[in-house]
Amino acid sequence: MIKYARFVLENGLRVIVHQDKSTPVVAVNVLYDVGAKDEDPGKTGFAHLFEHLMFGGSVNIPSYDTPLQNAGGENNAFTNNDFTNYYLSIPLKNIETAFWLESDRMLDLAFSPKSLDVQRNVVIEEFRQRYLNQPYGDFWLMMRPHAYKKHPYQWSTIGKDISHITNATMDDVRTFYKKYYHPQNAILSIAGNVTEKDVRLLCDKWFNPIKKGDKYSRNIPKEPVQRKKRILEVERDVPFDMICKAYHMCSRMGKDYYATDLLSDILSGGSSSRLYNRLVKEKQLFSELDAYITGDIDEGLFVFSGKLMHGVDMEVAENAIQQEIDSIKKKKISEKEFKKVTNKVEASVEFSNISILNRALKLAISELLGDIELINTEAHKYKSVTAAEVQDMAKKILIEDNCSVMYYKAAGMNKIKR
Amino acid sequence: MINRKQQPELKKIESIDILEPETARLDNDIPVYLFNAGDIGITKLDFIFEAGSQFQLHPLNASYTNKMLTEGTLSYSSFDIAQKLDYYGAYINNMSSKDTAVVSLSVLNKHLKYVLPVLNEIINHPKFPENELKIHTQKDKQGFIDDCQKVNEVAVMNFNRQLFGSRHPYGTLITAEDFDKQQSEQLIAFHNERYTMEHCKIIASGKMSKDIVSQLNYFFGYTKKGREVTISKKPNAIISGPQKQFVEMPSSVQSAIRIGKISINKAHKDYMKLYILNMIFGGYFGSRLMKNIREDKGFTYGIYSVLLSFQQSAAFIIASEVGSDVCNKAIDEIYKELRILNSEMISLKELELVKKYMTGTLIRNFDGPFQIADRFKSVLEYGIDYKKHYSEFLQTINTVTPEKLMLISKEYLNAETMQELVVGKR
Repeated sequence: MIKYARFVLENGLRVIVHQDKSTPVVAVNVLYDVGAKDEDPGKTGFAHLFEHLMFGGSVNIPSYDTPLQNAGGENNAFTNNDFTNYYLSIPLKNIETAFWLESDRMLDLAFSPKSLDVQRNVVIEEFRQRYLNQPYGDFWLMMRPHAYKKHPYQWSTIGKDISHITNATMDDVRTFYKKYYHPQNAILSIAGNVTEKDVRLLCDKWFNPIKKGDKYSRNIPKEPVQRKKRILEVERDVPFDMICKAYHMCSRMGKDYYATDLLSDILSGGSSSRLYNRLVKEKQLFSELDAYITGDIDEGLFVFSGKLMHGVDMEVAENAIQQEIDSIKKKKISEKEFKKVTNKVEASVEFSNISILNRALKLAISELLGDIELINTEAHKYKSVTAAEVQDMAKKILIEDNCSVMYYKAAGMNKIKR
Repeated sequence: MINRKQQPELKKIESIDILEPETARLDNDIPVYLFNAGDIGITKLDFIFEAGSQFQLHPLNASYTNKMLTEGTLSYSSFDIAQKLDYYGAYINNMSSKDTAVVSLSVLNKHLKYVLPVLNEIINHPKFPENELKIHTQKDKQGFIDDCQKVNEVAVMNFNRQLFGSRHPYGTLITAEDFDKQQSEQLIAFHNERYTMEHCKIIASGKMSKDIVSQLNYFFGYTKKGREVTISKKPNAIISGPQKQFVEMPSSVQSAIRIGKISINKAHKDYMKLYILNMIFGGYFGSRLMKNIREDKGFTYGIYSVLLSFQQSAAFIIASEVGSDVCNKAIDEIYKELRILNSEMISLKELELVKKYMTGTLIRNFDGPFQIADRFKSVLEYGIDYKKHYSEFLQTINTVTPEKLMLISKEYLNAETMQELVVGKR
């Protein structure tokens, strides 16, 4: 049970406090409700580029990192398709520095053209390092637009194309900041040996004076129901073939979410899972094979993704996955197998609570999802799902017309000859 | 009105609580170190064996002995083990490095008693079935072949060889054929010799029940000494390879850079000072390498330097992946930074910043039983007194001067003595 207090400042900033008396450090997490899905299709990769710029100096503080390091703190940030998250941990004694830094960059940014220039280059190198210079690295860059035709999940957080990053201007940056980076659009979550009263005082001083900003309403196109199987085949200079099958599923708060997640666990959670034992070990068709859900806030994907053992035919591999899908639809899941996956979920919830930074983040995400109590009720929600409901999910989601498949074939000089 | 230009007053951190372990010995003399703390109902057990790759006769034997422990035992098949662990939501993490091999279990307290018998089988009665070994080596071989397409992975492999030389076990270069050559008998022999009580230490951490030691004793206190066979040989001396190397991968858009040299390990008297110097140079986000090569030039997504400590040696390594078009410029900048480090005194302001940052990091690193156990583990294999080591570390942070660091820089980080490797295009 994670205890917390929640309050809202006059300017709309939502604040969460979780007291843990055992730790000498405090975690400060600031989540902004803006992700790659909010980007203009002609200016993708912007939310992430912007995350980099948030370290380039704010209106009263020329450098973010140095004063934090001086206070013994450490920080980082990440961007996904749904939101942008900044987090730091700092010795409790110096907690006020965190409030000073985070409130100033919520107040106004003041980075230089040089900062924009450099961070553009850094992000381009990140693009190259993660997506272009790795075998299979461009896989999701192609899979997303294959699976999504309308919804902005069709591009990755890094962006559709390097040119979008190269072309980002100072004006774009300003507009983006004004629209998304204000108290009404943010959640501040604090975990450590602090009381609600401590945090209220600090908030009054540092965050309360920040102007409210204009609320905007999201208007994201819904992904239309897929009516027919889609097939995409590409050839790349990689050693082995790879296959990916993606099926549309419900949103993060959809009623089927937990049953769908457990379905992926039955198929692929741990070394005793079906796919690993039957297709990797017994039949030796894949060197690696996973089934997982993307877990996005809007309607997401249920994904199978595997690398084929060399000499195995793509068709044979796909049929084998299909057989496992057919099997879970036809045959009842045994009580023992089902109990195994729910036990595993219970343990993984406990493990994820070890880190204080993680508790602060989970609280912020629960708040973002509109139900902060999720942090405590989620384990129970998984437990309430029945084996029959999981089987129903397979019947509902894992159908051919709902599937986008990609054959990623080895070609060229690096292909291992049969 | 508040003054937003002014950083809130910083408080000095005088000391850090360094929790000492309770110690015990099992009936067969295996030492157990207990960090009973925190309030999360999880137990973590680390079994540390002197069974790293330096002791193996054939490449990958140490790694596969470690990895195959869970793939079939006297009483359980590989699937039985996986099923039992998954059923109780327990995680077993097997890791083997140059010096040690670790079997690490994380489990909810209420499930510990169901998992310990399985752990006993895994550690004391593995069978290394030939068919299971074949499955794993063949799929891992594909992963290895994939890795050989990545400039960074190729750089890691080749730079070890370049630093430690082909005759020393730290310099072993793996090939795809080594996966095919793994044999059950080799692994059984390695297990018989190295996974024995005299090569074992146990660290237990978390909020544990009082009888944890007697539980461990029941399952792990009965084993006898290993056979006194010496399949492992004394390692050869380190004879470093060429000063400069280039491995061409023509289709890459980034090149991996490694610049470094053999260095001193944790047991050396100058280690802490060198560690601090490395922090300034390339050890954190505000380091000189990051400031120059990422935050000023934008040549890379990341660059860092690290001091890797091993039982018999150590390495100082600068690592980055940079745009192939700016590879030579980046290398020039790295040497420029090294030469500055060798010739110009570090300012008090810069040193003060790093001192404060490192003190904060130490506090973070001693937060909770699992973190503390990791700190303890990281010095255990060097025969260092852990509490003394970290107290001295804090003291060194507080007292080290630019003058002392200059001497360290000249002695251990001389730009002209570095070895260099580029993988990719230049």
